[in-house]
Parts: sequence; C-alpha cells; structure tokens
Amino acid sequence: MNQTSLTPRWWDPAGRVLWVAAVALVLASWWAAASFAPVEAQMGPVQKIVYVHVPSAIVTLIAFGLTFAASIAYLTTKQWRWDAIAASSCELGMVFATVVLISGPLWARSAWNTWWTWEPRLTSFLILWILYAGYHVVRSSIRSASRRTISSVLGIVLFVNLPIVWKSVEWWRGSLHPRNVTMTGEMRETLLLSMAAWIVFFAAAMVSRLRLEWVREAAAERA
Amino acid sequence: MTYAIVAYILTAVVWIAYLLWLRGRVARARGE
Repeated sequence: MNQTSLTPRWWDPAGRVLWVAAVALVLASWWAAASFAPVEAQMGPVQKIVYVHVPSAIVTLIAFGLTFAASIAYLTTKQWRWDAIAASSCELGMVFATVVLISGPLWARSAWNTWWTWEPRLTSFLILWILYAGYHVVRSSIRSASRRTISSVLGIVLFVNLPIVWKSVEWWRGSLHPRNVTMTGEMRETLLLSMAAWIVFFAAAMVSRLRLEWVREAAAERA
Repeated sequence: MTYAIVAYILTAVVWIAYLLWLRGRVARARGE
C-alpha cells in the first residue's frame, strides 16, 4: 500500500491551489494594511495590528469550533477521519491563538501603556490557550485505543470556553477591549480582506496538517 | 509603527516555524 493511499486523489492539487490563494491573499492584505488603509487618528500606525490580530482571533474560534463539531461527529460515527479533522483543527487553532497572544501585547503596549493586564478578554483568552494546549498534552500522552475517544470528549468539553471569550467584554467589568467596533471605508475593506485571507490560509494549512494524519493512519494500517 | 512591524514579522516567523515543523513531521511519518 502506498503510504499516502488514504489521501483522496484531489487532495494535493486542492492543497496547491489553496496555498497559492492563501499566500497571495495574505500578502495582499498586508499590502492593504500598509498602504491602502488609513492611519487611525487616535492610536496611530500601531492600530494596523488589527488586520492580523482580529482575523487570527476569529480564526482561532473557527478552528476550535471545528474541533468541537468534528469531535461530536467522531463520537457519533467512530470514523477516524473526524478525529483527524478535530486534532488538526485544534493544532492550527493553537498557532492562531499564539499569534493573537503575541500581537495583542504589542498593540496593548502602545494603546494601553502596558504589555499585559488581567482584563476579561485577555484573561479568558489566555485560559483558552492553556486549556487547548492541555488537549494536545493529553492526546499525545495516550497510546491506547481510547486516545480518539478521550480527545473527542476534551474537544467537546473545552468548547465551553469559546462563548466565555466571546462574551467576556459584556459579562465582566473592567474590559479594555471595546464591545463594538464600527469600521468604515478603507479600514473595513482591509479588515474584510484580511479576514478572507486568514480563513483561506487556515483552509490551506488544514489540508497540509491533515496530510500528516493520512500518512500516520496509512503507516498504522500497514503495521 | 515599530510595534506594528514587529507584530507582522513575528506572525510570519510563527507560521513559517510551524509549517517547517509540520513538514518535518510528515517526512518522519513517511520514514524519510
């Protein structure tokens, strides 16, 4: 059996198309952030971090949401592909969340005059990052057949963090994050382009990450 | 502006590092 025989035939061409689109869109969004979007009046150029920070935060929630859905699908069907999707999406969500936790303090240092403060959104997001890191620690430590089931249960239970992060600015006082932001004109267009770019990037990265799961599964079937 | 540039550079660094790590894991899983 070929090592990647579990990979659908259209997988590699689809991956290449997605990667070309993702890189082109991300570069276009960075150009738009630098040259097309105007400088924000109060915060100045540092506000341009919004075009990488906010899309990364949204895609983090999409990725962990996909982990939740795929985990339910695995427990329902017991098909290994759902577990592969859950684990892959969770890993990519961690990378996006890391970008959020790096870009956020850089923005906060300029906007709030501090690298970090224990306000609701920052605190809940850090807890989210730690708990989903725990998903990977637990998953990698289990070698038995129950690995997929335990991972799926975790993928479902940890989902409770997402609405907490989303609603943290409303549920607790002292939030420095704004409840609502209204953008117009070039700023809004640049943010929408950035959102699209990072969503396509996530899709391309999912294709690449799932390849690892296909290869591992093929190797396990041969063993 | 410096903070914004650093944020974009670090974003690129994180993703490039992750994708290289992923590539290495795929190669190891294939037994290369």
